[in-house]
Amino acid sequence: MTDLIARLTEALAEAIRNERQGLAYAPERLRGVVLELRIDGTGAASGIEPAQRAKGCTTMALETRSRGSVYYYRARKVDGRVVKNYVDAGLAAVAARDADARLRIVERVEAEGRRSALAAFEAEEVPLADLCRRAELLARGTLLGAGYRRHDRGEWRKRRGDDGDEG
Amino acid sequence: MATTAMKVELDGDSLPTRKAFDEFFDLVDRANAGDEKAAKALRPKLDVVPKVAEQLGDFAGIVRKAIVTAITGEQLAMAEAIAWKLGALRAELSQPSDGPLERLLVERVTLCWLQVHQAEGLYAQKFGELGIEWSDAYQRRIDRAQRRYLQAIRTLAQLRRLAVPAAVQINVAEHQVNQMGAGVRTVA
Repeated sequence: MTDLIARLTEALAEAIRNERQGLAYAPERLRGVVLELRIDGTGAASGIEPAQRAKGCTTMALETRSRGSVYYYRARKVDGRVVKNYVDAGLAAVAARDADARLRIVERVEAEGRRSALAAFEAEEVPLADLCRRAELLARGTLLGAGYRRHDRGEWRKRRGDDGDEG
Repeated sequence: MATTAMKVELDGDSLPTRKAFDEFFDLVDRANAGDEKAAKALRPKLDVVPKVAEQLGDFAGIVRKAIVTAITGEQLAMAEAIAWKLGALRAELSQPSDGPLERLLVERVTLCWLQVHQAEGLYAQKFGELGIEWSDAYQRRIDRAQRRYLQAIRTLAQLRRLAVPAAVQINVAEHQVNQMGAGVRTVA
């Protein structure tokens, strides 16, 4: 388990480093570690299954009953109502809760990585877009200065009696 | 097609005509919004246009190099082929009497053309391996590149059609030669 956490930390650090250097984000490695964590931390039965996640399943705190037993439920919203799904009890509940917490961190990092990779992708266009914007302003300025006007995004027309030579 | 990240920045502060540049663009913004006074105030400032256009032309050269490098990576033959194609396109769009502004607008058209092809090429190359999110991002990039390309062509055509003077007057011997911005030359 310690080894898995170390690998997860390393994979997270790698994702952050890549993001800072503007490199492509590679979530495969992280996902691999996470899959192992699910099995190791919670057992196959108590991990969040992909189908459950797709339904908007979320983690929540452990519930303690009067006799001191600990239970873990996941909650999701169905038609605006919160529906709880029993996951496990006792130590397995704690392990499942921890595994879910780790998964959430990884998913947050993955989402952030995707967002920053998309932002970097779009930023590649900025120099040309900037050049186009300035060239466009320069051309418009020249037309306006020469006495042309454009009504409602239509054709540029010269105003009657406006020869553009006035100071 | 390579996918080298492209990073170019226009360092506006290093432009020698920064103040004139800002004033000019401020007036254009106001005139665009319908401010008649600003439109009139633009006239005496038109002499800044060739200088700014030349500086933007230099910047366009940097952008061109960055896009070509992003496409070709280390493939020098491909870079040469692209440079040749851009040169041919430039020659096709240029006129002998073009001033700095027209040269800039021609260069803009060639760069926008190149970026449309880069965007389409990259998308075609990665088509099978893209998820929905990235596929959307590539398609949005193609849309933006096409819009920029069409706008660049439209602006060049407008300026050529209207033959707008760039307020440059040269005196040669006893003749006054008015060199117009869009290639119209009159001799008085």
